[in-house]
Amino acid sequence: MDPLPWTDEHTRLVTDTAPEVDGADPAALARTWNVVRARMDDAPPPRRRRRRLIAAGVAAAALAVPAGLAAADGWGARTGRSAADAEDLRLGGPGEHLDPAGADYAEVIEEETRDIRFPTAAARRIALDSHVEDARRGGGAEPGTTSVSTGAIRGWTAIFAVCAWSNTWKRAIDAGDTALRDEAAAVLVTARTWPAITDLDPRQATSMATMDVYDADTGVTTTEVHADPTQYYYLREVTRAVAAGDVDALAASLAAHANCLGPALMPDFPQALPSDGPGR
Amino acid sequence: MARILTAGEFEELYRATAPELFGYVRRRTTADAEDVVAEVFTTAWRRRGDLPAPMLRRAWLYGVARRLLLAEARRQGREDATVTELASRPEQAPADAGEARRQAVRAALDRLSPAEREVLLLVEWERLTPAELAVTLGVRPGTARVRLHRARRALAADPELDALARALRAGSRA
Repeated sequence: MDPLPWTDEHTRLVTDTAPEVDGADPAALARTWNVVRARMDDAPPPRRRRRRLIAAGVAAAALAVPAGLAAADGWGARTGRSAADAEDLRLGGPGEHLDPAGADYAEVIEEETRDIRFPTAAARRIALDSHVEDARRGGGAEPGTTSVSTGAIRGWTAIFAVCAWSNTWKRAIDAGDTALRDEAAAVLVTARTWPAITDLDPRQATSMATMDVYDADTGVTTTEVHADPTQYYYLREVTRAVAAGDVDALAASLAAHANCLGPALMPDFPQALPSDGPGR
Repeated sequence: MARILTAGEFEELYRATAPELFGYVRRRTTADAEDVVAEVFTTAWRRRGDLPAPMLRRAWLYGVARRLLLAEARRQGREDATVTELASRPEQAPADAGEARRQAVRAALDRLSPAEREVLLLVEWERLTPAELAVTLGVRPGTARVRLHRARRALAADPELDALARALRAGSRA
């Protein structure tokens, strides 16, 4: 990089322009906390590694609804729109933006995820129903107020399928059903290559990131090194665990990284659910 | 991966970081800061499984606040006004040399692109480190450093800002 003509004087000049604002007084902090606390009780269980889902929800307000459109019977989930720019793509995922308030939302996500293989129709139903419940719970009941990309829906559905196949694999091992165990294993070791996964994370890699971390209390900046895995890097762990027949390793990886919904999807493999999640 | 926060730990996070977030929001918008901060922490609770290591959580919360402000501004058709509402704050006739200097610096900041201005203000106003900046913007640390470098270089190249910096340096030597 070029030498930077930036000096302490530049920093002082810019810092000095910060508008004087009222700090958060105790009453404002308490009022705001009360609002948050009340909402916490209504929040769904925590989900790990679903950045695209949530990010899509946060960014959804940016998607302008054409003037004149209003809530109406027959409002469809398909919007015909997709990411408007690179940031939108990164936050919301690839594909068409769907409106969860659309009357046909469940049918549309079923169409979009048809290529993702589940061990049973019941497991697929649980997975798809969870999307609908999640969207409605997240405030998607008002048409045109939020959206979610088909890429994101497909990515989460793929992980639900990985969970369901893992449950099948575990059940087959417990029952001594080697044919079913091998079938499930064959599916799981290919999960990394499913289009629903590679569309979002083609590399599935990790790297070490060096960061300067400033401690506001001490004024000290230290350099720290953190692992920086991509979204679906843990599927490599899944592949290794299944190939090695290591039930504990698979459970640990899924519990740490995947959202396997709960006991409904994982009746035979509760170890793969987070220890503080529902059903454990 | 870090263990998911309990409600008690989450309240501690709120107590430790909410005052700063109020400042951040109030420096950037005239919207109701309580609404925005409440939404930031509601989102954080919903996504508590995604929270990064403790030392980066403040930056993560800034990132959520930033996206909420962006979304709100876009919804109102004010994309250019999102990063900072410097332009929307009424300028007053400078009462003294210090105020005149601040207005000149604000004008130089306004000449930056919105993205450059945002990067600079996150670092200079909010005191984010480059690592925290990366988390807030959702980019890799190296990318954040490059963006900060470019933004600083762009502002330092502004003739008016350059003159002010030289005058300040000369004054401190005198």
